[in-house]
Amino acid sequence: MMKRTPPVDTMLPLSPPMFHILIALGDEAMHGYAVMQGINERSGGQVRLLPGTLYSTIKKMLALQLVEECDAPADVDSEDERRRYYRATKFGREVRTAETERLSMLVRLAKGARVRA
Amino acid sequence: MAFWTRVFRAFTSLSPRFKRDYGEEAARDYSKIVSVEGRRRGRLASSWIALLGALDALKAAFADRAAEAPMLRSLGPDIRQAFRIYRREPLLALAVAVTLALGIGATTATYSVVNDILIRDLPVRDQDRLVVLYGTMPGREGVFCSYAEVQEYRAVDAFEWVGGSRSAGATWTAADEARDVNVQRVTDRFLTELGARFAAGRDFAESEPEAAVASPAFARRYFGSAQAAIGERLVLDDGPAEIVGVLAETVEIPRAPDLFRPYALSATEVAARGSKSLFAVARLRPGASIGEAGAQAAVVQKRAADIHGHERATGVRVTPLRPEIVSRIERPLWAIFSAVVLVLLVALTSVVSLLLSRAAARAGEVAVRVSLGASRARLSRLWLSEALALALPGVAGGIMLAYALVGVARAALPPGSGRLNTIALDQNAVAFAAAVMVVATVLFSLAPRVLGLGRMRMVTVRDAARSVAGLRRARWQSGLIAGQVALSLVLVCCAVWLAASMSRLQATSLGFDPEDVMVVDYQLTRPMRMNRRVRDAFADRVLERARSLGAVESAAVSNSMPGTRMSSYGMSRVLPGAPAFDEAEDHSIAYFSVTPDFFAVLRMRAVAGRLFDERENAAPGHALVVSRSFAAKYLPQGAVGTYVAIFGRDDRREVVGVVDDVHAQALGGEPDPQVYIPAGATGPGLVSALGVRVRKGASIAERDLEEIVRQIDPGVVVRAMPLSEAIGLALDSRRVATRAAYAFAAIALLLAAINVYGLAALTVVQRRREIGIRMALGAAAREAVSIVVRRGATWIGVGALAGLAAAVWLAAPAIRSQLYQTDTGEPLLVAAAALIVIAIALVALWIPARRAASIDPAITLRAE
Repeated sequence: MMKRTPPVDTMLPLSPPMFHILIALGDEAMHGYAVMQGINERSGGQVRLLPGTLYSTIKKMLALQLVEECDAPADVDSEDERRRYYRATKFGREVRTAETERLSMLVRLAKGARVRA
Repeated sequence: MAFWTRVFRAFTSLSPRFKRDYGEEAARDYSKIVSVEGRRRGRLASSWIALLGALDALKAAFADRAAEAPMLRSLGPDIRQAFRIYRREPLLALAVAVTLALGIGATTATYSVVNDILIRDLPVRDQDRLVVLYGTMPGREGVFCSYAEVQEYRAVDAFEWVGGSRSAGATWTAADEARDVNVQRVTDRFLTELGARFAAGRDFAESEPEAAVASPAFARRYFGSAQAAIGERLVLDDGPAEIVGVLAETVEIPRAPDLFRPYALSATEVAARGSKSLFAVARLRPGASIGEAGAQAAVVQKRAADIHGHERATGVRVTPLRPEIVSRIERPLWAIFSAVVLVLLVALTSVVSLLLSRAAARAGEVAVRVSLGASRARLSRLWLSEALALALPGVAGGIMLAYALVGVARAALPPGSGRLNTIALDQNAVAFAAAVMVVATVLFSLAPRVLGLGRMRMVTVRDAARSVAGLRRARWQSGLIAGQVALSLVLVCCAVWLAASMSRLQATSLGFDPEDVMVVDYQLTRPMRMNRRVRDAFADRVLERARSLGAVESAAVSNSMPGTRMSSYGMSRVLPGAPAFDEAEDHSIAYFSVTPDFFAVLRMRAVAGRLFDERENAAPGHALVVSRSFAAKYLPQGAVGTYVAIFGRDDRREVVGVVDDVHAQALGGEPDPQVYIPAGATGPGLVSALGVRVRKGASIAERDLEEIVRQIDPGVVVRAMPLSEAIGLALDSRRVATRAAYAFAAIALLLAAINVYGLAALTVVQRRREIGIRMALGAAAREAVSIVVRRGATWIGVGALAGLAAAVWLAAPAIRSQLYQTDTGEPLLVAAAALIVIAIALVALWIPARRAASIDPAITLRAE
């Protein structure tokens, strides 16, 4: 039976690797390598998650119910069939939204402060 | 990239749980990332990402492991915190890192050398069953065997195999120049039977007289690789050779040659029993003992003696092979290793001492932590992290230093230590360094515990500061001082003994004047050596050309030049007939076969009778000049005019003069009695050295002297150098040993001084309150100083006594064989060493003790 999830705001601030993983997963199911590639491409090469950090973060996120394992999509090729796939849970999507809002608020504050200076 | 993937997997294995859950997937993704990076951005970029990925895996595995173990969880942040603290105390961190690096570097490098030369197995099969066979005679042990004897020993049941090898030199006429090569002539399938491994090619059979097997160093040096050397033909003066195989490792039995060749002999030589030139090696059958083999070999030898008549060897000795190979270098190496371990111990205790002082100064901080709820376990983790943060840079620096020192060791060890080329810093040595690091970390983390920090709950920080003085006084503190002083004194004693020995060695009168003398050593090819007329004619031409040089004052040729390592001098027996001859003694003498100007070149003068002159030029005859020691030993009634038989019962010669003894071999031994015979006379003596005295103010280049010989025959190997340089070469290994001893002693002394200083400073902190109160009650500053000094001086004295005892009873026997005309019991030397150590220790004690005198009692009392 799934544990009850804690309130969303207790997960904030989210660690950067967790945030990047949730962003990369979006609403899809992906395997680890695809997540790393997605993060690298979205950030234009600025952010690079390596396998050690990725899988240890995924392990924590599974325990926190931010992501869950799922079956491979139907259209994958044979090599990718052997991999494990992950997707964001509902709770994970909520936490992602909350973190995005938090970071946006900080950016707004920072920009506002600059205007006054 | 397979290497990096292995590293990645090894790191993930640090957490079995992580490895089980994600290891395979992570490793697959890692390989893919690295190979994609390589395709996109090149090899350097993929190596960089591979390194980052591996470190990332290490961090992840560690974090996963730490999630299970609370102790590990705080280790990472604690270590980072410790690095931040040490950034604010750079001197302490640097002192510890440098001390550790020196100690660990020296010990690891020495361990590596000791491991490779003394501990590691010889590169042969069944090393424990390999033995050496020596003949024995009255007054002589360790006689080599003849080829015939080696054949006979094959009948011994206890031996599975018997073979032999003989050292031979050869001149290799290569395209660019003539070179000396060391050759071992070996019996059939010698290398195969030993179990030597081949990097390329194969072994040879005795029926292949032109085949040769090269050492790996020789193949690498002249042909680039083992494979490239196969099939190369060499023009050697004792017959052409074709390289059919290259060994995988240097085989040193008993020396490490450049080439192995078949022991090709004529039928006459095979049957000759008198030529004892083979180093005979055998393998025992499984289950056979050395005693059994020796008894059987003795029976075989007796039977042969009965058949063939008088035999020079009258017994046989069977002994294990390995000690024969390593014994030359065993004692000095273990001595050096022991010295280095002592230095490491001093280094570790020095660092502990520094940390003790630091821990005392942080008593207040610890009290605050305890008051805020830190448990003893938490404090232990904190101290462990700080210890690790200190030990890690020291070990890293130590390993780098060890790499450099191993290179120095290769250059410094005597030539003929054939495994030099294989000495490298290997995984055993690195594991050794890691083990030392673990010990160091544990010791360092114990430092605060020693002071009892963290034991008590403190009400206020002031209580903490006060109670440091009341804490259980570490008995270790005084023991540390005594121990370090003792260790340092042992090393300083060794340094003083070696220094005295070196000084006496250098002051030794050589018996001749080497200044302005150049020597040219040349090696004739074998065909030339075999023909006396040819080699005499060669010597005459060399002499004539040398004398024609304007800068040459006088020139002479001989079989060797005294005092040089490059000399090869012959040993003969003084046969019955000479007065004062005792059969039971060893009567080896050194002889020089010289042209008359020899004595003028070396500025030797006759102390009795005359030297060789024009009479010897005209008719060499049977004149003889002897040294003082020869005359004293064999002709005590008067030498000049006496007839002696040295080179044969009928070889009577008249002693015409006596000269001072010269050092005929490497300096450091008592010279053998010496005789001089005219070069043209019959008798032994292969002239192969030219000596020239250069006119004052003039100079001759070594190249010009070598050209004299090369112009006569370019196929002759030749080397020229000043005689003083050649003598200096003979002292090289002793100099290295002496300088190493100085370095060890200086390091140990410095570390001991730091330790004494540190502990004295600790005492001042601990007893500040007491000193302040005493001074407030009227005690003089002098008394404050004496509180600190008295305690420290007592333990310095205890340490000095212990050190003297250890030096005299333990170190002295180990070092005695390395000393020249120096007795380890000389009171002046031992007293000098003790004075040096005690003086430095007292100065290190006095400096912080002076600070005790500057304690302001008013401030101390106000703080109460």
